[in-house]
Amino acid sequence: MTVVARALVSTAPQLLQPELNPAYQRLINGLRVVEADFKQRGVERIVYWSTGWISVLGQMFQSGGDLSGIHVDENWHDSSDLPFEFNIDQKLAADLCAVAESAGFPGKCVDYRDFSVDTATILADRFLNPSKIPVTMVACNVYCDSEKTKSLAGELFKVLDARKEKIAIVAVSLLSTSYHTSTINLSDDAIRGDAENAFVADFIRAVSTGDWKGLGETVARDATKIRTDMGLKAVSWLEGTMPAGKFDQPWHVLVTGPLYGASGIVAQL
Amino acid sequence: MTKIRSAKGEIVAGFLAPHPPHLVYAENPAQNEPRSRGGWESLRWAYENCRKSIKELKPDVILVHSLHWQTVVGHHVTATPRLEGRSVDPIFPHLFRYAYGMDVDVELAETIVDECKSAGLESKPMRNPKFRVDYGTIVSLHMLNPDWDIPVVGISANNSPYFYDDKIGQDEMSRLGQATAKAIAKTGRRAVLAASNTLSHLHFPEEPNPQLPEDMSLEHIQSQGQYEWDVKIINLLRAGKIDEFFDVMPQFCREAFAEIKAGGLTWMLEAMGRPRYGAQLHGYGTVIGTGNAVMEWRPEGNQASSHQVSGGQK
Repeated sequence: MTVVARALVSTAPQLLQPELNPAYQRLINGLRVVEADFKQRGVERIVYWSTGWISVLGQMFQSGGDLSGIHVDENWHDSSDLPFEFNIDQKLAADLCAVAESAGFPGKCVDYRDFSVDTATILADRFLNPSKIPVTMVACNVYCDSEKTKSLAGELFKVLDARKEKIAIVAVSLLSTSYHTSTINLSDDAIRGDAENAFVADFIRAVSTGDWKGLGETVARDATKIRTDMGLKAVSWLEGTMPAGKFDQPWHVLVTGPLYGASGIVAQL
Repeated sequence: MTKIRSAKGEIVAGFLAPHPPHLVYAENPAQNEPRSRGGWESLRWAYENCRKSIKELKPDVILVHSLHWQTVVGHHVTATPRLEGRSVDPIFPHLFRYAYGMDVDVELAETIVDECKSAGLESKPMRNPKFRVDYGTIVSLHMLNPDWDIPVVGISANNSPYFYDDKIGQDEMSRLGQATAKAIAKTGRRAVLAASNTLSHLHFPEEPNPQLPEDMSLEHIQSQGQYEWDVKIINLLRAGKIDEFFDVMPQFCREAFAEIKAGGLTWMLEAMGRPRYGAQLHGYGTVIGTGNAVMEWRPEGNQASSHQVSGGQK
């Protein structure tokens, strides 16, 4: 078995200013724990799947041979010049694309200078991968429902688990996306909404105790009401990457916290 | 401080300017790296008419509202003198890798932000010169003015139409339109507005011919229902039935997954005072199954061929 770690993480430009809110520092601390765990397990490749990179016509896999530059966030452009430089495993991307194709998910490898990598993936890589081990990225297909997302993940898992390198699978997603819609002091940032806070509590309880039925009910019940991030397909994605295609042990939720009203999480599976 | 450029600024035309990157790809401009064999001519010919109109009108500035610059806190406005770089569309990178450069009308942009704030709207100037302009803005601007010789102002699509209900979201865009019109008047600009939106937005789940994206033998509307909706909306706008249009717009957005939900068209029509004269349809066509109309609104006094540049302008 070469998939040695899985994580669900949330990032946003607010994490660049941890001094402004202790909750941001706690999220960063959680990311540091994941980073240390990857190091301890000898992770040699990371595969990111992010709700910040969407595809609409089939699947896309990042295979950029020169993927570097400065990214400016479209919302927080005044405080987030993000230099980035990814070390992409182009062969891994091509292999994943090929297996997706053969499983009925038409795919494309994306290898273009100046490609717009999403903010959340850039920040996830900054925190989880300071030594720049090779990675690739899989786009979140807007029109794949949870079942199809899980199915694709399962097909890709077969390729990943047959490789010789130790691999970490990281889903980059928020839980709820109920952002504050007016300017706030970052020191006042908190997860917005009673329903959202209740959802986060239910979500943590379900994944921490291995109550997968309860998790499904919670997600189904609140998906629209609390504006979950892409219907929480990140959970389906991660479940699809489990050896038996389903979660088999409780998650370790390291932290949850606000990201401009949205709810962020750092959890290890 | 705002410099008054003429006695009164005015909006000299408004365009519904859809932004499928396929249109730029098909044209093969020097700025875009991928090459094509053409395609989507009906829409590109429609844009040729817009280009002629803009040359004739000689505006000071083109303003574009783009849903591919989505913001969660308020309405953001490009407000740095020069934006340039290479835009690689994250969704269609094989079609759109475009080297852009645009001069921004900072004074107007800052005035729009001020007017928004005066109207109680959240708004923020985007002053970071490293900001990468979204492909929706670039496609609409290229198709309207490929010479890039007119300053621009880009306005983000605040996500309120998706975050709240239809009424709150579109009210927000109406107020943005009013604030924009006030800023144009205050700064004395002759302005062209562009709503960067398709109409119906149901599309194919896969590229019909990955080896030849411009394979026109495979291009058609995704569904008959959305086509009928597009025709209905176009006819309302051609007839200047603005109230009826706004009445059915929420249903249109729901049933045809229409992109105008993002608010660009509401912003533009409101800025133009909810025009009750008919819009000119330059063309309609589909792109990967979506419905796209290129349309023009010309206020009285600015009609084609009868337009005269008034004195006191820059």
